[in-house]
Amino acid sequence: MKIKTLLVLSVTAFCFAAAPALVIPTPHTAHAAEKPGQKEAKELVEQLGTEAVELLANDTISAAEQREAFDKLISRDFNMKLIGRFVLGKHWRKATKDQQVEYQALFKRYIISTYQKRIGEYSGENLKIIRAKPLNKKEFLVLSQIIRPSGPPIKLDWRVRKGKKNGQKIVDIIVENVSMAITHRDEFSSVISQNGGQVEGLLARLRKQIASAEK
Amino acid sequence: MWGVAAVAALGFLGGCATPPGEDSSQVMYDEVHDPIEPLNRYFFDVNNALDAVALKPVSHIYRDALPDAVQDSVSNFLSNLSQPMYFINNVLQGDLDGAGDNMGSFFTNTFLGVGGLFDVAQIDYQEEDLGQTFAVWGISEGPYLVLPILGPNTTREAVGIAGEHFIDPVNLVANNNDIDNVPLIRGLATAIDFRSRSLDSLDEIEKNSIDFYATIRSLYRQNRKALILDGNGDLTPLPDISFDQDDDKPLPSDRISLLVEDDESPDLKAKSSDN
Repeated sequence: MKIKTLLVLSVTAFCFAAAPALVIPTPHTAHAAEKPGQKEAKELVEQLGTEAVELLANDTISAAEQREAFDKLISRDFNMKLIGRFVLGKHWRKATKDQQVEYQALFKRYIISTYQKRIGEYSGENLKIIRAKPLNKKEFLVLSQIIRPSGPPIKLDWRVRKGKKNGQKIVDIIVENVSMAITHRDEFSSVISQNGGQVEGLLARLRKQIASAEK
Repeated sequence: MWGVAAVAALGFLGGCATPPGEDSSQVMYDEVHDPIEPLNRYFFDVNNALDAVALKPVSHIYRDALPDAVQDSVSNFLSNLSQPMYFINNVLQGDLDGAGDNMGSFFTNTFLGVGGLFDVAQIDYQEEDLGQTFAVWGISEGPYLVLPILGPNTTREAVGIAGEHFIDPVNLVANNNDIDNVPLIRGLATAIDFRSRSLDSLDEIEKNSIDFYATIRSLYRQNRKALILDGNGDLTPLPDISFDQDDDKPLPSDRISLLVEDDESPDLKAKSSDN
């Protein structure tokens, strides 16, 4: 009896991995003097949020057109090369030049097809930008919330990084304290080790996923 | 009792497992820390199959058939039942402010909110379980563990869950008054309540991930870390984006992830001294 109750009691834990339902808003700390680029980081996210929601809620254009426009937005505001490399992690150096090139192209398409749908489903909900806070010399964290018609708001943070040339780009999105870059990295790394440590295994899996997502 | 012993034994076994060889870097190993992955994957598949035939359909019906207000009340009632346990854990963690929030919520909602059916207090309390308390005490999380029915866990959290079963005031009160099956019914209700609210997001994650198991493992770990830090904004866990390009390499002092390694570092140190 004890074991049985113990097991069933904790069925909850089965699901606790994903999508934490409770939001604990972070208390606002006092505003320090604005650093150079702090305002720009906030504006970057604000602008992107407005344009992305507008684009993905637009039903008058075809799915292919929408994808292309979304691709442009992503390329403009995200440092996809840096993210792609971070996500591949230690396997980057193992990959051949050709594999690296193909990986970067596939990674971008994978991200676009995945997030296009996710954001498309968020229409009707509002993105509220709260503030930007400096993380280090090169980076800011822009804090925002998705305000939903029902249920608590979703916490969404954007990691914005100054590039080698001027201009800032987003390098990570953190949903409810869960980093998308780390999640993808853990996932990709697992696929590679499931395929005997071959980067080719990951590329094949990505091709398959993109093909089914873009149908 | 044997359940607890088994979980504890698993933990010790896992703790003794040696890190993989040189080909995987220490960093990757620490992130994944999944020495019994094949077994975990097996139970992950079993759990998914059980979910598909039992929990998921029931949660669908629950979500679609019951009015939102009823679902909210069930949710509130279950959260309220958890407050005494959160309170105990906050006290054990030395967070008296947090404990006060739990106590305030519990009494307000129990008496003014019709036994907890309505969230009158509207207090932002924190959910603290025994696993988090262990983390605050400096116990490392141990290997990743997928248990049958219980699902994703780390060894530390699994021991915590087992421990809570015996110290939860709600269970003790039920036992003293000879009310049967309280933990069972409460566990089922909590599971359905949670699952019905995560139907869409979990489906989405499953559809979009190229390795569902690894994604869930990553989400679970990151979420636990955030819970242990109590959503402390200044310690938001972020990836350590360090690259081989020298001009792009952050200075050691810039490596933000150092801030969040507190949870892991005792473990790391212990390991390096072992070797």
